[in-house]
Amino acid sequence: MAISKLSIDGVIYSVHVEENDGNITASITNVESKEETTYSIDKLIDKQGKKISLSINNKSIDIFIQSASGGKTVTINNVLYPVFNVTGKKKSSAGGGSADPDGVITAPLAGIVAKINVQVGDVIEAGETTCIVEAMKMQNEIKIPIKGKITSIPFEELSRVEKGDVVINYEPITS
Amino acid sequence: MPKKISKVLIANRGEIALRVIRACKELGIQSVAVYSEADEDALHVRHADESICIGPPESANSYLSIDKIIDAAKQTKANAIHPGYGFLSENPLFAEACEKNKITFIGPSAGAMRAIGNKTSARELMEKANVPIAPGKNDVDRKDTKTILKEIKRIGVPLLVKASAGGGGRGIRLIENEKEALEIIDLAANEAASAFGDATIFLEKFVTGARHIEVQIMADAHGNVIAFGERDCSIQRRNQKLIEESPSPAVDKELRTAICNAAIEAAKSCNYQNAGTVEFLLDEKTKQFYFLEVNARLQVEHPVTELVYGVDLVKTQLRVAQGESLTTLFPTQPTPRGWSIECRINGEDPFSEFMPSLGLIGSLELPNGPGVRFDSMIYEGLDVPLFYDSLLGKLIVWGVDRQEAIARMQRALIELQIGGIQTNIPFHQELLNNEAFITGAFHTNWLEENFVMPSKQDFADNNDFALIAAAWSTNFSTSKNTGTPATTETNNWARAGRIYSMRRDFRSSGWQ
Repeated sequence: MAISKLSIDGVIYSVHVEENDGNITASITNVESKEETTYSIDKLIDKQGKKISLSINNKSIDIFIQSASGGKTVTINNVLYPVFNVTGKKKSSAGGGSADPDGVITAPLAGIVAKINVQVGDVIEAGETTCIVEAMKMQNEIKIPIKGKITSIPFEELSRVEKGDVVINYEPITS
Repeated sequence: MPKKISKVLIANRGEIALRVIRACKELGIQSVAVYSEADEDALHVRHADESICIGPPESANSYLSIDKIIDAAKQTKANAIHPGYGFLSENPLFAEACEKNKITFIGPSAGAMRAIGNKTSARELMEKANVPIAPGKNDVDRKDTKTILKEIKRIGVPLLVKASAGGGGRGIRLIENEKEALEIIDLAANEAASAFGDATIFLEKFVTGARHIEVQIMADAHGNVIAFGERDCSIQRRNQKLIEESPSPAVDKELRTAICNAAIEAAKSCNYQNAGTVEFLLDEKTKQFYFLEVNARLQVEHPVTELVYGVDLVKTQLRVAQGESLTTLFPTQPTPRGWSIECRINGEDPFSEFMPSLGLIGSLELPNGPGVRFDSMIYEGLDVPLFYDSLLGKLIVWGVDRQEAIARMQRALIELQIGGIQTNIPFHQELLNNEAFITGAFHTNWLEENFVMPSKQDFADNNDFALIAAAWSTNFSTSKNTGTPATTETNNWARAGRIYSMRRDFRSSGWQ
């Protein structure tokens, strides 16, 4: 028995997969709404962890799985689903920077700076997007938590950033 | 007289490099691949008889470097170069460099490229050759406002201002009413000057709701030109073709003859040689067609023509380049049979504005069965480089008629499964179920004006299975490995047999 805490599309689930004599039961609970769905899996064929075939009600589903920083990318019928591991108690947020001290915004995850939306000298309102960090094919909007004036941008577009790297420096504006 | 080709260097990458290597192999011609540092792992490098690294990932210093490619050809003693499409394929300087170094350039002459590469001179050539062109006015003098206004009245709005030196959808502006015309013409001329170093512009009637119809032509060194019918490439997004088919649902036998004859005249007007494509806009209501441009190279979508005409265009290119005559290669005019459709499989996310989505392809299932062809650069374990375009491969099907071709494509799009990156396969699946596509009622603006891609959730809600799979692979996967891994043969006979069956050189068996 094992329970994983995972997030998909920004919603956190607790996923419980159990195997008993070849029968696999999976239950998925939305952590916030407590809504639970249970699946009974007739058969599961695991091919070196890269691919699994599930059979539910005699219908087979092929699933591709790939490890990525912070979770797994899962492909089902040519649709990619990034699934993040949820660690710690803090709500995982793609907004990023919520724990940053005033004046800096750090990358909430490792990835590539896909787009920079601001320029040095811009004054932007709280909640506006400063840049986009792409990781696991997901676009994460990096927002400014309070109103501020951009003072420097350490990275160029398409550079690689690690989690915790400062991506924006700004001067907080209190009015 | 062109000499016999014994070794071809392919000045390209990706699926088209592989396509050319395959043709060389079948003709018993040696092949040389060139590659950038980002493509060390690429399939074309492994399939070619020899390969040479020509520089860093940036195209400007590798695939676009005439000097490096000519050097590589000399070093490997290749006596011909195939340029593929894109990169240097339509660069007259490259064709000239080949000629200077006594290397056969598999394509048209530099002179023909120049004659049709400039849009104004191409219009003049076509006019002389009686190829229909859209009503317009060449060599517009932006200061002569009186003539401009007179011409705009004559041609009628809407019309396009185009840069003579532009191409591929660049340097084009739309004039919707006479009042704004002079201002837009000024803007367009300035843009053309800064983008192409040439402020020459011309006016052309904007044919609304037209289809993009193009004719495949092949011309030899003896003055023979053959047309291999038309392709319909009206399914476009931002001037990028996504689906091509042959024949076109909008072209009947009579129209085919007329448009093919026009294409042949277009090729003859500039002494064109080798494979080329003459693009036209077709006004479906009036059946009137207008010359658009000549693409002086092999096209991405050439396979649909190959399947319908039963011809290998790349092999024909090689044969024509070494002086063989089309009258010997095709004693009778080739005729079409059945229907073919191609879907361009791109590493693009259709659920978020077709953003590029490239990276590691961890899993791959290939389509199979009757009438299916997949020309691609991908394999399981390829980390698709970010430096080039997003074309991963082309899925092409053939059927006895359009209905069968569509059903076959729908089936093949389910079989083809690419894991690890988001491809545009869901877009193709959605489009092939669209009523307008199925009935063939579309034009070049149809996709952008009418087609809406559903959200990921509406397309397929498999979030729960994604969660189960992620949880399973985190907690159970490594310890519960029941299948026999395909890669651990303990017996050398089994290993040798497997390598033999893959028909690969033993040395390359390190690539799994």
